[in-house]
Amino acid sequence: MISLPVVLTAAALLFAIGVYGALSQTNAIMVIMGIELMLGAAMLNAVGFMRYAWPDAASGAFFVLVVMTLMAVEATVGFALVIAAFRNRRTAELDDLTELKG
Amino acid sequence: MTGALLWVTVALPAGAAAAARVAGRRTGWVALAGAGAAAVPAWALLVAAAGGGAASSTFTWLPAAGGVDVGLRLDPLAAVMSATVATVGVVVVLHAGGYFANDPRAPHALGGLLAFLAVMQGLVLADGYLTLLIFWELVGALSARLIAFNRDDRTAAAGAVRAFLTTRAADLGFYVAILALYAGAGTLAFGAQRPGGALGALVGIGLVLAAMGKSAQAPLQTWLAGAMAGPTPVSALLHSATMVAAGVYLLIRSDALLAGWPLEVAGWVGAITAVAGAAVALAQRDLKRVLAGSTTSQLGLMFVAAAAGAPAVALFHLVAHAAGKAGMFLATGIFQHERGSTELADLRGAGRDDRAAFAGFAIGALSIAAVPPFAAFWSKDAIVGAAEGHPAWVLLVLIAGAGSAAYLLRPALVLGGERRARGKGKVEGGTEASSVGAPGDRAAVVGLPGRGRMLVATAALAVGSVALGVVGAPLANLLDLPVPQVSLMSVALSLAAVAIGAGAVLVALRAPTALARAALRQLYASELLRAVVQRPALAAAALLDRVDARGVDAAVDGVARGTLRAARSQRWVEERGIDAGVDGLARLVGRGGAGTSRLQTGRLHEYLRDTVLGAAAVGAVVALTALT
Amino acid sequence: MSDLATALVFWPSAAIMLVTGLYVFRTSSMARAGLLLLASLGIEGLIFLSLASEFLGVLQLLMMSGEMVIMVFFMVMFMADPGGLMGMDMTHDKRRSAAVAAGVAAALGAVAVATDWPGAVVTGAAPDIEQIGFEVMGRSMLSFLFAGMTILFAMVGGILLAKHGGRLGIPAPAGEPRDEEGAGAIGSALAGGEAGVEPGVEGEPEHPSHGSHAP
Repeated sequence: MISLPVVLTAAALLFAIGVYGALSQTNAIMVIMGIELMLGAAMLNAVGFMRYAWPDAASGAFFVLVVMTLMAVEATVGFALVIAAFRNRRTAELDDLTELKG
Repeated sequence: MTGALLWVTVALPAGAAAAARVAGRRTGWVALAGAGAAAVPAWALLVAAAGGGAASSTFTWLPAAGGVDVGLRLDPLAAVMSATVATVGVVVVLHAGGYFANDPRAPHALGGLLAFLAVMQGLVLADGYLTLLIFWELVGALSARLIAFNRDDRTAAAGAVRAFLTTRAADLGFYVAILALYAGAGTLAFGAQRPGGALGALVGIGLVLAAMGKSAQAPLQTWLAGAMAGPTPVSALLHSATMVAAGVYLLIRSDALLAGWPLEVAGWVGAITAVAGAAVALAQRDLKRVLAGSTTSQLGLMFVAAAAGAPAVALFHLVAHAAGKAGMFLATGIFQHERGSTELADLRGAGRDDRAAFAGFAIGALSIAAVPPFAAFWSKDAIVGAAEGHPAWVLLVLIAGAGSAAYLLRPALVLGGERRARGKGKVEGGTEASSVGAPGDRAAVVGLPGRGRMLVATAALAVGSVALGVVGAPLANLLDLPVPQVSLMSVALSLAAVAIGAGAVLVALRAPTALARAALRQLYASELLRAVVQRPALAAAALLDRVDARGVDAAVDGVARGTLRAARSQRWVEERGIDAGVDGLARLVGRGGAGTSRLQTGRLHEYLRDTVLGAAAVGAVVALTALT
Repeated sequence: MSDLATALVFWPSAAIMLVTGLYVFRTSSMARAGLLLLASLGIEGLIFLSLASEFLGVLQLLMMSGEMVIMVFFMVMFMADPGGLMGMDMTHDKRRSAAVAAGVAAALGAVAVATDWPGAVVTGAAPDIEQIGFEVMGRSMLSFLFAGMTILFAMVGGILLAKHGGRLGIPAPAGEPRDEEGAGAIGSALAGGEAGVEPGVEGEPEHPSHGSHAP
């Protein structure tokens, strides 16, 4: 029925979608969304491992907790950056923020 | 006191020169007053010296470097010379006041004469050879300036240059002698002993050469003939009485220093010059040139006397000759104004037009021709007596004496002869004060401006020519030397020489043309000098020039070329090697930077993509290591 | 939960999760994208539940509902066209991004399928909440403390960055007046140098909400 590779494959697809989103979107918030999706894939992986490989280890659940914290933190800092950039540039479009071009 | 008097003697004529230069139309009288004032301290010195006085006023020059005494001194020889110079100076300046009466450049000439008197006083009063050399050179320079007085006359400028160069060249001997003397004896004071060896030889040769140059001794006598292009008073003062006598003075002064073979050489030079000068004088067609030849001859006699160990006799003859020859020149100056020329052909009969001037000329001529009882007779007799030890010199002196009678009788005959109507009316050229009338115009002669002054001056010297015969013994006493004895033998010989000379005039007029031409051309002394001195000097200069151009210059140029070539190759190495390396490195770094900077697009998603790819690469590496 | 029940929940949930996740980046409406993301991550919580992790599943649902609402607020605030009515394109570099994503999916999928994973299928229950509590307060205490500190730093840093004038108090470039904040904002920007952290115009309502879902 459901086995570890199935869960991992689903997580891999979710992760790929997140990668596609992070790479293809012009808006900073949309990029953050892509990263959220990737983190979600990581959580799914952890849950899958916990369910099918090491059911007695509570550290898997703890890892999920840490990733959730990371998501919140990432969103916080990301939004703060977007606000700062928007304040100075009146835009959140990444294509307009190319000061680092060498 | 006496020391101060010495400096006053030199300074007074110098001040008078400056005063005469700015005195304007009264310059003649101002100059006369100055010369007269300058004669006072000179005679005071002679009086002091006669009283046994001697003084020296010197200071030490360059005391740190060993020191050389520079200054003036008073001794009998200096006092006699000083008084002679001052007296002749007064007379000549008096004459020059008349001679330049109508000349707008009279201040120039009179100032020059007085300045010459100043340096001549310095020369005769000098203490030590260095001071003597300083005034010796100043005398030469002023002489050239005075010869070149007449700016319209090209021969005057040429004569000045010739006089200056000849005496300067001979003066090199003086320099060599001084350096050798200082190196050998360590002092430049009078009375120094001649050092031995090569240094002594240099001293002897140098001083004799310097004396020969200044006194126009053969073969350096040609400059004196050229100097006759100058004004006649200048010739009288510089080129007969005083400046040319400086060579004789040097010999007398260096009597001890030159004892031995140098004086012997000087004596031979003097004896030969005495004969050669007489021959030259006999052939000249210009009265002043006749007198110039006579001067070299008489100076040669003085050389003989000084060389024969009778400096007192030489001094005696110097004084007597100064009076006689200067008197003749001054009379010639009068004739020159009357006829506008000094050519013998133009002066024919001039003595008849102006008997007073002719009288002055005749007295001087009689004295120089050694006719008793005139002054030079006694001095020349003393010379013959002094030279007794050298039969050859006696013979040459007698020949010169006969010659002097001959060459003076010739112009006297011309001057006193019948006037001849000349083809050309008035004489063009000549000095600024041109002739005033045709020959025979006695009224015009008497009305000549300045003639009175010139006559007075001539008369004063005529008196000297008559009276100075008595000073021989006092001079010798003054110099503390043996009194020259006049022997009957020498008197007879002198008289015989005069007689022979008088007879020789007639013969000389018919002398072989080759000999006459040679004498006219100064016995080819110029050609001799040209061959012996000028050609080698120029050849040496050309040789040195070639050495300089081919050798030294080439070496310097070669060094420069080599340096340039080395610099060029260095530049090549730097451009092709070091610079290229540095540039290549910079280009490489720049290209790498440009390539790297293309990664930095500044677009976030591309950074993200690269991050993902990098993470994938890391994962691949980890997987590979895990598999193996 | 039995295997069958798990399968019945897992397959549809996974399908919906992937499709909604994909459509997050296919829609041209920002608001819709936010809601789709909420859906995707919320359904992931459902999967957690099906995989016998009740605590994590519920937590996921709570967290995502709060976070995604804030994200939608941001969409509305910063997007030119939050409703997507103008059909503007928010993407770039699509083909290369898709290629990279496909490569990543292939690689990860290959690893997931090809690896010989340890352990057979365990039918036992996941660790209960008590076990998780002991884990957190015991072995992983240090990591948990660090996580808390990270949240604190993120809060402070976020406020500093979002503060008017930036963390250095530098005012915005001249010539770009903020019409939505007016002259008062400019005055506070001028005074902002010494003001430090002040509850000013930018004291936005998202800060308390950020802090609220951190625990």
